[in-house]
Amino acid sequence: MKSRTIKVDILARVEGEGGLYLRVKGDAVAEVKLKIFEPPRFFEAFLRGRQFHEAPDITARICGICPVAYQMSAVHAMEDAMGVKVTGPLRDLRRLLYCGEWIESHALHVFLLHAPDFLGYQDAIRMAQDHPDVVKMGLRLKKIGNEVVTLVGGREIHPINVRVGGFYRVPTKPELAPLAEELKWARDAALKTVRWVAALPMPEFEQDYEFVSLRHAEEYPFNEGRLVSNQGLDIAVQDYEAHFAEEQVSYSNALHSRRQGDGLYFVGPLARYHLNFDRLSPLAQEAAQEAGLSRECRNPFQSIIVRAVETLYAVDEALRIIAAYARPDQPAIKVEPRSGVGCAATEAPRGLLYHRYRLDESGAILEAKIVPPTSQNLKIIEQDLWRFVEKRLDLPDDQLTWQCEQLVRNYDPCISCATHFLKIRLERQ
Amino acid sequence: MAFPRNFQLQIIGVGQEWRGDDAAGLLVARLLKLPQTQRGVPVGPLPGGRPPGSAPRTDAASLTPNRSQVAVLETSGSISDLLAAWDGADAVILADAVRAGGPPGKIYRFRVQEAALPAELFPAASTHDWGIAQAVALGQALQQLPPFLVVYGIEGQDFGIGQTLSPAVAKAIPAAARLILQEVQELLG
Repeated sequence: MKSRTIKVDILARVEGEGGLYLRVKGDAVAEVKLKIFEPPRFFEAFLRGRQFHEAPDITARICGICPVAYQMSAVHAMEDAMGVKVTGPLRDLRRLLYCGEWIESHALHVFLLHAPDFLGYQDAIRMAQDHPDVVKMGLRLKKIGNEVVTLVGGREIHPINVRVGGFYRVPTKPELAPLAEELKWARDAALKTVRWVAALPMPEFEQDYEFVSLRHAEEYPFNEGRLVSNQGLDIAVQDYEAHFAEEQVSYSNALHSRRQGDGLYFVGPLARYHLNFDRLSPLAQEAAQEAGLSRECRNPFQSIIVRAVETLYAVDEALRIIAAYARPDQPAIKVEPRSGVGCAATEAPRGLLYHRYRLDESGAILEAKIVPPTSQNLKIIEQDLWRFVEKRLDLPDDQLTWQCEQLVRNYDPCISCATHFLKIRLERQ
Repeated sequence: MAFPRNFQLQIIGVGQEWRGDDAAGLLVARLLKLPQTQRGVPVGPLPGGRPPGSAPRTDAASLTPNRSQVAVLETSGSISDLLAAWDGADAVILADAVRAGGPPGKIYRFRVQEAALPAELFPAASTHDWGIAQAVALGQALQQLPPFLVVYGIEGQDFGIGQTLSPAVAKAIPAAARLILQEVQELLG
């Protein structure tokens, strides 16, 4: 029987180090393994013994692309433990900071990491030779996202201005004004981006997923909400661990998450969009509809369009927040440590990010648990690969490998976060 | 090469302060920011030094007295930082650690317009972002390269975690700074 192996030893254009191994026996897929060899990071262990207020700065170091997500999940979990709720302009500033991270992370992924796959370019540098204006637009969008993070967070990578209870310093209204000017350009650029990605050649690959994301009563979710799914899940974040569990797999340094009883689930932009279309701004809704993006979208390749729509939303939301902003008198509310357990989930650009901390009466961390979005998506990526390859076994190895990499990048996986990624190997037998 | 008197020269030190010899480019930039009389001080990891990426554009009046057209910048070397850093500059001199397989501390000079930068020599800041070789290639594709771009590479030995430099790399830092100074003086005439 003819045997075939697809192997990508190091997956490019993903964060961290991992590889993909695919074994095909005859005309059936026999094995799919996403191998994560990014070394374990041990963050949960070395948070033990540290003070509660150190968690946002320590966990921000887990990722250079989405440090804000780690800071937000950390501060909300701590505030949950202390029985504190941050409201008003401080809460709005946290949303603004998150808008900045979504804009820079999505722009990086859409333009520099994922779009080249759709157009048949090896990388964004080669794409830039034929589409210089598109790449310039993407770089400027990313820069504007970085500027939002720099202004609110203190610096663009691993921000230093976030604390439990609020911020160390809050910006003045005049400081935000120049950002608004940049964001107005970004709104037009994001709209153009939605139209541009909507015209990309899109592989047909509709799947039946359980999408999981936060859902808030009024807003498209960043920091708060209930955990919901399109298959009836509707729980408080505090019940996360009763419904989801991490497990070890022998071939990977990253844990895999499972929905108790039901197995696989999907987090990230597509899940958020699917469950929260009605919470998008009117402009973002209109752009999605004009792009022909169904509200029920189930094709993970279309995540590139959803990222563009979310970028537009984040720009719109940032402009709304800046327009309504009144500088609070205090940069933070007072937080007194107490013993207890606190947890929170927020929406990182790549999907749901869960943190739980157990604290003693002095506020020292006794136990920490962090479940990043990528480890929640690893099983779905493997299932997607299995189903995708099965229907395309007639493709030559180089094309099949290319499309498998493109598929993995649908999830914008962050392997550094998940080890707590990619070489591809396809083996045909 | 003749340049107009008002041209802008940008010196950019690239690196990661906490990855051993990868700090070399940053330390070259830091040395070049010091007043001339202090440049003889031994170079090593600078505790409490400004973290890369947060440094403002520093006018290097000390580098070239009476000239305001030279700026020294430190960066972690992400593609967007680099494209922004050389935007509007007439000439750019970059310093970064390399892995070219030569003896530790060896200094290389690449004139970018003459040849593409060998991507495998320059460690990327992150696998999700790119290093200076990719920034240069993207700058070429977008026609956003400064008219004059020279890259000084310092052969690193140990890119492990921490602030300890290999002795040969520590020695190469003032040597690279001297070469860059010479180049600046030739450029400025």
